[in-house]
Amino acid sequence: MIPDWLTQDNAAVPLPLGPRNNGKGFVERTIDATAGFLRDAIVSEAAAKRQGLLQALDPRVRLATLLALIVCVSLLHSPVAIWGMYLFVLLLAVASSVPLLFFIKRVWLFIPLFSAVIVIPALFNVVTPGDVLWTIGHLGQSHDFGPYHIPETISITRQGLLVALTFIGRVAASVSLAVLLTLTTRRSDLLRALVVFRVPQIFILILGMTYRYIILLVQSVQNIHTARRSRTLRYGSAGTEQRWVASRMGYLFKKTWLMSQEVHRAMLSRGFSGEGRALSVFRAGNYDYAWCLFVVLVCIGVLVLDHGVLPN
Amino acid sequence: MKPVYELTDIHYRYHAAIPALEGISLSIFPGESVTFLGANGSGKSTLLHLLDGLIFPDSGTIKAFDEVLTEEKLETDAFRCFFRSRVGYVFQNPDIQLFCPTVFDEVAFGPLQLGLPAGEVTRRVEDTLAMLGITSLKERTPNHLSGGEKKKVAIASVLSLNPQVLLLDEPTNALDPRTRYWFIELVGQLRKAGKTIITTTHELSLAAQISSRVLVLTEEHAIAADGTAQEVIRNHELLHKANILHEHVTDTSGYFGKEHEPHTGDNVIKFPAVPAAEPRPRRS
Repeated sequence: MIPDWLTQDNAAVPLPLGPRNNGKGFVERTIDATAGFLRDAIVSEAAAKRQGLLQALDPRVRLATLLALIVCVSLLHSPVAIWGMYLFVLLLAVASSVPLLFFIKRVWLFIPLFSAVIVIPALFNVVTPGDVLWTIGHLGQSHDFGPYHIPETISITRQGLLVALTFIGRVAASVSLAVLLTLTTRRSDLLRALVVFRVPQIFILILGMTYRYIILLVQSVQNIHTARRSRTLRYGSAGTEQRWVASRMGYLFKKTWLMSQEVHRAMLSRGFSGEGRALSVFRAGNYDYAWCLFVVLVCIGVLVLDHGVLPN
Repeated sequence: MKPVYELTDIHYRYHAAIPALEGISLSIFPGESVTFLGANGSGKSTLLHLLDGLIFPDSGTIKAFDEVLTEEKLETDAFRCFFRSRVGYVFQNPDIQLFCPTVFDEVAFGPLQLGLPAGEVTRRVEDTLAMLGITSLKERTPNHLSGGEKKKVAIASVLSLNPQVLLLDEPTNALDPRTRYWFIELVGQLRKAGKTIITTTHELSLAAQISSRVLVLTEEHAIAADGTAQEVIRNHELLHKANILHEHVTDTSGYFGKEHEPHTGDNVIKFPAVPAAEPRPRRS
């Protein structure tokens, strides 16, 4: 039996009092941004599907050689050699049909996070004494705190700038190589390629499942918030919103736990006994061997130049 | 003929308190297509979990292939390989079942677990994908599949094991009409190939179309009827009591009409018998 109120139109809904809250809230914006980042950074395999220099390689060779280049970069001391390697990585990206601007933006998003904070103190004569390039200010007198000496004049030094350039260049080249690897390799191939480094199959299986279910759970979170948004006429106080978010986190945790039990049952059902197994589907060819040789020569050449010719 | 499954007075409760199955006794024979019909919460999925040896009864006995099914027995390599290669379970939620990075890996998972040689695994995967018409999805990740595609891949991941018994939990839930019909045709082909099909559903039309035998589970978690699809689905009083049929529905004969009869094809792939798996040494 339908109640009377369900047969009539609602009376005019009073507008919410207090501050206006149009558009998405902080939580929803954060969730959308997280989901968008995951979609772009993890799910998108557009670059990996293109024809290019790196895509044509056996994923195992791609993984091993790009890691070898990262090791090589970490052994360099000369800023010229390091930035030369960065330029080489940019050329690799272009040859692999990766949009250059997108690639540079993706890499330089991480640099301030992981290196700028560390490297800024090294610019100053407080940490790296040397030839003054630019004076920042005068303290009136020098100070000593145990083993630390604060000079009278705070300035950026040439030696400090070189340290910063070397450090940032090393991070930029290494992060670029890692990003290039993930952009040009499908996630499933990357996981399979880990076998080269004797990573146990069970870890590879777990990594693959993590990737699979992170996306699914992020979709669940988005669905929860979309469903709530579709029935929300007015937002509650900050405390109410926080309690709601906390309760959904608890719900999602429980859902994840129950899902993990079901997934384990589905694995058992298909004969899983705690041992990961996989097919070796890759075949290395002449192109791969030629690329390996090229990378070895590049590494040796750069290291020789760095240690013998270029200024440190 | 010996039954594939023989259940005697099975009782199962969740958290030792919430009843899920009460006094279930039945036998299922090779080649039968048995459907458990019941309302939501009647214990259908729990019964399939029991039949697949994923959970075990509080009391009563389950015999599978003439062996008593126990947790201890399934921990032995020899029996686990024997049982898992003969019984395949398609879960209700394909997202639970599709846990590998690609469709190829998913379909290869079972045969690899059986310890089949690489060439045979590849052949099975490719044959199964071709049979279900999903070869084009081979390199796709399950995150990028539609609901119908996920269901097809979930079925492929089980068929590649070449099981003698297929357990299908609410297989047509959330399927569009075209995929639903495709599924009914597939079951027809698998029946023709001699597979034993055990399905749970609350859809009368599906039960009518795919079953040689229908059992009704009541909301009290017991079996209320066991008969042919015609006998059970035409018994409106029984279906009303089991809360499967709405009181206003008085005619179910349409479910048996010609337009509902599935076509059966002959393009069923035949896998060679699974070689007897050699028990691997236990890791210390």
